[in-house]
Amino acid sequence: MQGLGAVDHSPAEPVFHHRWEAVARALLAVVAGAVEASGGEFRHSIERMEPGHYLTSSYYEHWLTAAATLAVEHGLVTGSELEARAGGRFPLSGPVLALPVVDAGPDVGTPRFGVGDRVRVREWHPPGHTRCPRYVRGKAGTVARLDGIYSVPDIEAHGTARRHEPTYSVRFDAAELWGDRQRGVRVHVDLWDSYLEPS
Amino acid sequence: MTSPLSLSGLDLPRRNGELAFDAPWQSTVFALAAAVIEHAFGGDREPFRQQLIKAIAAEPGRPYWESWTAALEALVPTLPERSTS
Amino acid sequence: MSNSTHHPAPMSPVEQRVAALEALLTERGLLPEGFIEQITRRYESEIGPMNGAKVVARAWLDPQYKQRLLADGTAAIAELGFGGPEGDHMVIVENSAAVHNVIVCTLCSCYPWPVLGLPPAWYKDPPYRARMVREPRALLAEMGCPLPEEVEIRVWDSSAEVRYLVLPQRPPATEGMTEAELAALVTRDSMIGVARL
Repeated sequence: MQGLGAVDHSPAEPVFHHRWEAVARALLAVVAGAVEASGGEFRHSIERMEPGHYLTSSYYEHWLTAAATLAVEHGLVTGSELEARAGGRFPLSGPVLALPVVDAGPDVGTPRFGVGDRVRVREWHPPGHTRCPRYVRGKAGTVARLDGIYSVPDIEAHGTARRHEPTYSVRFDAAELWGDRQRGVRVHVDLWDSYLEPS
Repeated sequence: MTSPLSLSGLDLPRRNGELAFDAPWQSTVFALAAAVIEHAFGGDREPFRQQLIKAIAAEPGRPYWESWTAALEALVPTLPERSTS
Repeated sequence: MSNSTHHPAPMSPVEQRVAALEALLTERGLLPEGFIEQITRRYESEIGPMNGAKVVARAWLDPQYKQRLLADGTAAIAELGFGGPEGDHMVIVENSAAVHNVIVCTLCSCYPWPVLGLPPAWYKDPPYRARMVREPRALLAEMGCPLPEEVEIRVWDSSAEVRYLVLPQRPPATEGMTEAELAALVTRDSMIGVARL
């Protein structure tokens, strides 16, 4: 893979090897200026590259892909126009994933529940990352233990916003959880405050 | 699993009961993730963990260390382009 | 990169991917000299269930230590010099004649590294992760740990920040043993909860 060190290449290097790279840099500056892309949007367009493409391409190809992706997403050019000009495939970055978290909300410092409280896990199926196991969604349990306050993974996954909430170990009776006849089994799951509502 | 981990041909002492890795690439990719967590995310394990959960969910039948590798590959594009020297 | 001179066979696809990652991270300055070897050594021979066994043996012999262990697992294991990644929020769960504890991570493979090292393959595989919350008594019996219905089974799914360790019951006929002798009796599987001693 290409070295990813200094951005500024010596002009004495072979022209053939670097001309497209210089063009990529200039193109990105033009596109970013034209669409008024922020640094974050540029970074994110590189982060959205398909991992195989990212890892097997050079630094400047990342910039080229970012420039092309932003240009297409902002309507300056279409993907098929790019491919027609390039005479072949022109892979772009993947789509922006999941809804942006507009407001993470304030940190929750006070636990809403105490040991012994009956709670129900919210019945939700978020499109993005969550640390709420599927098998307890919508189920009722009892708070068994109060744990520390930690960053909510669902929020953290979407960007720089952070919300910190108390966590709990919630105990579920296995027969209730699974609707069967197993006896004497309790399953404890560690959950964030916002995953729970009073039962 | 009885294949010895061939680091300079020595059979490593098994104080922990069994070998942690079946092949050098597994210990390498484990250490690479540790390096990224420590040096790019300041010890925050959350970004890698999220990719691991996603990778496992995407292909539940895939061998564990291959999911770990896929998770690290997905994480790498989110690193800053330039090294902080 | 390690071992290329010892492995003249062509690299498998995943080995190639790992090699590419190593090259990339080296270029980014994220991989200090000797880091891979250091981590490998640490998790191959320095960190492992022999650590947890020492914690268990200490708890068996010292009732006050056991109290501290159950009240604040992180601080108590730190007294013996254990701590670090995946061990910052430890909760120790105690077995008794009436209660049997077992740990699992249904989402990935969370496991208390500082006291148990890295998890075994079966712990990370889908069947264990799915079945231990679904039908633990049957699965435990299959794994060689049958428990009558009178024994309550408590399954702990490590879905947030807490990492669990099972404190097994001290086996009978061990009076007079030293801490080291007791530690030698404690198996990794008993500290995960898929075996009793």
